Amino acid sequence: MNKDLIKANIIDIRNPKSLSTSKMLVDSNILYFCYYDRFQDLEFIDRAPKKYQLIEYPKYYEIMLSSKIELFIHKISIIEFVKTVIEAEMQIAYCKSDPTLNLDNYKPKYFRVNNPQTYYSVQQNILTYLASIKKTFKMIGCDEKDITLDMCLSDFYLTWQKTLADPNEAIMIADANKLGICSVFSDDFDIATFKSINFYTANRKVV
Amino acid sequence: MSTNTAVVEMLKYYGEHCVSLYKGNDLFNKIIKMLEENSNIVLDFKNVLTITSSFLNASIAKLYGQFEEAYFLNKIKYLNLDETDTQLLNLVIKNAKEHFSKSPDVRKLENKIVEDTINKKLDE
Repeated sequence: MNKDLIKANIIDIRNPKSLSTSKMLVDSNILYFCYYDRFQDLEFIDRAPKKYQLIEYPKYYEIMLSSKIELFIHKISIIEFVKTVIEAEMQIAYCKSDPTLNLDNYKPKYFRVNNPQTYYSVQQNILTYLASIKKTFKMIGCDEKDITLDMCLSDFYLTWQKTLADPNEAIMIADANKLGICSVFSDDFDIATFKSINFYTANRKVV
Repeated sequence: MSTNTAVVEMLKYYGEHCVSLYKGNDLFNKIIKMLEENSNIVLDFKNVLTITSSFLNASIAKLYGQFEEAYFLNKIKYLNLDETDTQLLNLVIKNAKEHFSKSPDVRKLENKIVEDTINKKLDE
């Protein structure tokens, strides 16, 4: 790898020196390694994180928590975490339905639309993970003053549950609704699964 | 038969934050030892601020791969878990039960598929 590309100051967390920061922005993959729990199932389909990721990151996260530094998460990272968990959960569910466990045949959107109850169940599980996460973090990436992570996640989840949409579509719709925008112009079938939306489309599955 | 109750004060042994795999493994080994001594076990989470799936997977979930649930279900009680942590624990347990309920034949097939996948990747 071309080392000239590395511009950041690198701290190897495997040999942590004392933390010299009072504020840390935490990325979505850390949430995944610490808060998601089905890696043994993912191992069977060759989709599990690497061993060092599951050992080193929870360990360092614990060190940060004990050091009482402020932990921040961006709204986008929450959505990324949700998307990663969805991908994992739906792949696991797909492999249960296909005895050959051949993910080459897996089509995410097709599987989701044809197994909505599975997707709704995954949404419920994600609510549990998010409830744990919001105990620890402060949120950034929101223009509104005084909005808490709890409020943001509540709006997002209320909009997202019982739809077949990606979480980024849900946060888009939730933010739009807050501004009184209820009409959406798109070709994405998933938008049709939101309640109280005027969906302007020529999507053949819907019109 | 001995039916003493062993109380594990989680704060005392593991601090305010139960996250890492090594803490989870330590708790798992503690529980195994207490079960072998035929103790009833109380895990008291009073004043523990953070519990994550990584910790619960390395400790509680692993029990479901080691024993039949009936063996330890009534022997372990959890104290002072708030609603969020209780829901997380229940989800981790539900997923562990599902994972370890696979029959040996299914696991054998899955292991073969993983092996074939890895070999295929090595050939590429």
